[in-house]
Amino acid sequence: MARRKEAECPILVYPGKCTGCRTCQVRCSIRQIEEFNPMKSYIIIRREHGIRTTHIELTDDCTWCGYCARFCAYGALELKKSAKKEAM
Amino acid sequence: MQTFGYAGQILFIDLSDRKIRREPLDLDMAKQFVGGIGMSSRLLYDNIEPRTDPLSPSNTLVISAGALSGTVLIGANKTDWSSKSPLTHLVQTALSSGFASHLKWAGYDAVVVTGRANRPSYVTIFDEKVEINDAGDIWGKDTYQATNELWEKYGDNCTIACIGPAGEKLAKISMAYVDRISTVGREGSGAMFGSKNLKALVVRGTRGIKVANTEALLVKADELYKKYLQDPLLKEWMSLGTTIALENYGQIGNVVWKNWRESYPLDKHISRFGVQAFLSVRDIAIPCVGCPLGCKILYKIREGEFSGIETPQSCNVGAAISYGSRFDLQNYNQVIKCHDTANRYGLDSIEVGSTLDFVIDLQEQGIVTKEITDGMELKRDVNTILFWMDKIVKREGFGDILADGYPGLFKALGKEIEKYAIHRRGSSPDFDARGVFGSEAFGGAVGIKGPHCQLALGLTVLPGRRLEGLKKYAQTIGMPQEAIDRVFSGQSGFNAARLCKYVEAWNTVLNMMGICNRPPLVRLYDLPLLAELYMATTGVGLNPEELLIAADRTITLLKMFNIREGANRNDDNLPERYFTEPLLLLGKESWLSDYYKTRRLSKEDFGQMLNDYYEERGWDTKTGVPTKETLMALGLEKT
Repeated sequence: MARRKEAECPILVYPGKCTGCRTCQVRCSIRQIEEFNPMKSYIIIRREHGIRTTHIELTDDCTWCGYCARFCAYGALELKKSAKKEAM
Repeated sequence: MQTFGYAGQILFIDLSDRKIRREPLDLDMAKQFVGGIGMSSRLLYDNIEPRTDPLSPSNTLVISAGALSGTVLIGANKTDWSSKSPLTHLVQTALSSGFASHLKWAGYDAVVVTGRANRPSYVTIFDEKVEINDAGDIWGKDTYQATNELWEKYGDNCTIACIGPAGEKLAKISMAYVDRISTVGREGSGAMFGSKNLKALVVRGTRGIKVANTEALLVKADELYKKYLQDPLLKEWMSLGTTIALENYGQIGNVVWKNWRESYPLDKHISRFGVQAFLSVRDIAIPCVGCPLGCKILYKIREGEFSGIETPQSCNVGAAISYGSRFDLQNYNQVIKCHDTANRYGLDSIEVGSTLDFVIDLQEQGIVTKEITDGMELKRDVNTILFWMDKIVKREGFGDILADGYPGLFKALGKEIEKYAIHRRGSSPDFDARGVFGSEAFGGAVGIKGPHCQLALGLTVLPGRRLEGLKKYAQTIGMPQEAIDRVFSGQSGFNAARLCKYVEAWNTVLNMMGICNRPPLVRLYDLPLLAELYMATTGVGLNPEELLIAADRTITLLKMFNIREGANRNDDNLPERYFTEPLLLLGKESWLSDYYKTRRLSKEDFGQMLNDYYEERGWDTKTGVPTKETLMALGLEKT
């Protein structure tokens, strides 16, 4: 598969705002693999010692569907304006 | 067999003979007890011998995930932890955050831990791989150190329940902590872990769970999320967590000092531990899995005394009350230092605060001399708290007595001091009934786990609610009309004792589902919705009435557990002093009265309230024991 251009990703990531609630991971798993299984989701959140988020990664499997960003209550994931309508 | 919503297995771990086995979840049992405290009640009752010494290998720890835990529903992340309490010798049930989701993703709805490891151990549960490991490297370390080391070893994507030195030393006022932040509180859960040589449980799940009707569940989940965003107090809750309640608590007699003799001055309480002080030490939110609320936070002391401390906090108003006002601490930094120390040691801050305050009061009255307290005069200051917490976890001198809480003090100093103590079965209440006598304080008197009344928490936590509001609330929590008629009758038009049964039922349903009871989350749910969500998740049909019956079944089975342990009507009581002296509340005498403060209550009045509560529950009014008819109606006749 040809490598995607990251600049075209419709999801904006603001790591400093992430609280590590992992709602995005849980949502992604039910959307993509039809089970609640965040360890297999296409977004990875790491929270060091249970407190500070140190890592947000959209994996190579991520389809850029933007579903995760719809449920980020902390503003760490946002959809670019152009992508919002499509993700709804 | 494919199960939906439920993981489909129960894990049994015998630490004595290091045997691990799995049993398929009995779906009939699941339908009877749903999950959380319900499933725990059945598993605990069936897997523990009567009159078991709670610190012996025969005690059993049951961990049960809520039925909706592990899904994407807001606030559905709760875990029940049940055993026989080393402190109260009644059932110990605690509702922690975390753990449940990973447990279910790993493939288990519940875990039953029995026996005692022959050396310090911790258990790892990684899907089907379950192991009992040597804890030699982390035994003796505090909860933060030990949990961090386990995260370093196994990765930061697992959830960990861990005890500190207090639990290892079998202090009856100890607790286990989940992910360093959430408490397995209260009633001495840490000592129960310690008695099993069990330092920690580590869980990571990658097997996931499927639900019966994904589409229906997600539609509802999305609706809940939208509704949640419209909560008018959302911003305040996200910013303040439980500190949002601090000022109200100060006004209702929930912020007391001098051994529950008087409320702490409200102006000092607000200026030292109120919103502004809290915000100056609040750093970031630390939400539970899948929770947009993030009421748990990280404290960070940026300047001044104890500068540099960073420590997580679950219920921030609790620390301000347990330490700040009780000990007249000078600033929030001192509160944080005490909280951080207690968390690291794995102590129960409420019991530490209450029992130390009790001893100080006895010393001020000349009842306890300095000789008993190792030649020390106990004072209301930060150094006294820190000094004695250290002695408690080392079990040195008088600290050895304090480690066992009120029962330890009564045993060492004489039963006659008990009349000065505010406790039930050796544990401190959450609410003073002389301030507000709603379902919460009454729940503290009759609750199956002692005076910690998490199951009775409802609308009457605040005084003077309008009757119309209470009636609406009664409908929301699913009370049948005939029960509403009984609750809203009598002299003041309202009977808190009768209401208590239904508040307990509602909170039990939330618990069984694994839903957190923080107000912005509870407000999202009602019984018909929970029945719908349960159906979409598990495919099991239980209507709202059946959910309430499952809750009654649970409470009654836990009551039978307590009866089996020798508890009787006399154990459902209020502290003696409530009947003989008022609480000095904001400078005025506040006597034990009915909810609307229309008249003072005597012991006889309280006895009638007990009768009302028992009658509502179908328990014998003379003995407090569930009647045969009630047991049969609940399907517990073989219990």
